[in-house]
Amino acid sequence: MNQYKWSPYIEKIKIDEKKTCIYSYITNKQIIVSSNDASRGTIYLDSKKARLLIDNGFICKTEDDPYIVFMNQRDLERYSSSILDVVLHLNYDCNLACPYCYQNSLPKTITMSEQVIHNVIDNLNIMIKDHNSSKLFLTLIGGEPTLHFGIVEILFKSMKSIKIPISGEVVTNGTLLSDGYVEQCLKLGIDTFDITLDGTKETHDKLRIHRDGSGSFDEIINNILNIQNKYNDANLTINYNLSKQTAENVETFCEYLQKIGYTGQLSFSLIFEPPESDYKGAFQNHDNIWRIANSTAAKYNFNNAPFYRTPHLFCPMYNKSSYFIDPQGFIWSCINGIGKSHYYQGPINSQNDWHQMTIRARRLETLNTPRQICKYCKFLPVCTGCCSYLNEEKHFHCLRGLYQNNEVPLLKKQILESITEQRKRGQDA
Amino acid sequence: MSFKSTKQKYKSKYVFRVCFKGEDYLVNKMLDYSELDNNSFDEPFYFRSTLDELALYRYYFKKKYCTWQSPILNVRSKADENIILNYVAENNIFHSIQIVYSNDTLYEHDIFHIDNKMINLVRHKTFKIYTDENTFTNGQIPQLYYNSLNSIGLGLISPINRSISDSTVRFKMEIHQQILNKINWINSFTVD
Repeated sequence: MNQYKWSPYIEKIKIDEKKTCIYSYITNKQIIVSSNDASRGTIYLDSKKARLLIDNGFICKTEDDPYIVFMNQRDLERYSSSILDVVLHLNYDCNLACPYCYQNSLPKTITMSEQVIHNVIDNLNIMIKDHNSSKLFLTLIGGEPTLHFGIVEILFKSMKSIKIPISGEVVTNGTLLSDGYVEQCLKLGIDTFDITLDGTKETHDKLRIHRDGSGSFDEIINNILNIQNKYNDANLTINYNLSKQTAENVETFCEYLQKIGYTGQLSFSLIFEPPESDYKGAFQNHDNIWRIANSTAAKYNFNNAPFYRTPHLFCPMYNKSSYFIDPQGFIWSCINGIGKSHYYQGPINSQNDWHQMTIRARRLETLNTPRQICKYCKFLPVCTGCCSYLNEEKHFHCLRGLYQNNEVPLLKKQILESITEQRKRGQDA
Repeated sequence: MSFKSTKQKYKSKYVFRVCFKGEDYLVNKMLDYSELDNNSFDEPFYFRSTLDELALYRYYFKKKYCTWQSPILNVRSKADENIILNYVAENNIFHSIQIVYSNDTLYEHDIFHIDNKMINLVRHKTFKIYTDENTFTNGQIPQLYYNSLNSIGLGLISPINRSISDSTVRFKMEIHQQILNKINWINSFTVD
């Protein structure tokens, strides 16, 4: 029997006097142990059992530094080659003018040219070979990626040269989701449509406005219902922007979705204030508004997992196989950092030049180290030291309070409910 | 974006010049890479800082040695150690084999094991990583799986499955440990 200790990256959830559930933030797995064992500083196990628990992120050897162990496991994940994850910005222009959009600071509108599209696709094929990827996950984003249908048609046509399976999503405001666009996406394997709404018609039409000041709510809902009714293969997600203006309307909105028969997903995002913006609608860390919104949505059968909006283990910025490509064919380290020189990596066609590789290596290997204060925080695997963009552009933005007030209660509730359900089923059996 | 000035760059101590068939080559022995010496001061021979040089070596080594490939081999239905060994050998898979642990291999208590497929779903939703090609073709995720996911928030609590032997589990762990050891070595590596 050897000595081990609990990893710091776990959540202990008391079930009753005798048993405690241990949830690992590293692997998202859970085990049930006796409350005595859960409260011990040192636990004794034979090496075979211990290896399983170490590998699943529950314990570590007493002499090991759990932070180093975690970072090594994280390296295994972020250097994985399986998926080539590409975020493709087709254009920087939009038919809406939302006050909190980070792209408001971009100096001009740009649309991807036909030449750049061919260049990007050729280089995606090189990346696939280089990374030995078995799948391409493609996110189409803008500006508004549905704005220039001609560009999308050229893109889809040239993507036929990609020989590995493709899946992906379109992040859109939903105003221009025509049948033709949806059909093209589905043919290619891009089957998820992530549509952003700012609450009910009343608030949405004040925030997500056309250039002429008119609202966009009705046309978006029409498009959503059209896709839902016509295309069974399409996965719809409404992304509800939570801000000071929209938070009060979650229940009304859920009632409305139920009334119109919406059957897709409903997720929530907390808006952050872009560094250059005057927008002041974002909530502060200690607010529990995200939990309230998700609990409200759950009453209407729109269920979400805890931590579903946070990157697991690392931000894509630190993933070997993640690329953010702008409409001019340049690679950037961060989706929000596009246009800022320290996030610039270089043109896509020189991705394997040593100079560009060094820039990428610098981002992946020296700029990803969490602060001292974060190293043993239990949330490190889900928070990853907080958004590097916000850390670098604004100030260190600890999410601990946010998680403690929002995600953890949701996690506890769901785990306890599942255990009750299991026990009930066991009794029935 | 590039830094061409010699003042801003230094020559790596791992770089040396060789003459081959009358031509001068620069060699970076850490990367096992050589180029004709054309008097440029670029990477991977000249660097802006030791941090850059170290970052490049770590990136290079991790990319080379610390990766594994998917798709995942689902061993539940065809759990045979030889199949797994062959597959691993042929495809350099070190980590992504789906294994469902049997209950008795774990620490004397009930196990709530969340099926890896479900974790993949969570990761797909949160991080857009998507690894199980057997179950979800063409990127489609059946509503059934969403429902299962939603039922407890994170995934299914899978039934105990004894279709894989302990030796295979151990094998996977050993391979995993070898890679972790390699990462340890790379992470402890310094330029100076």
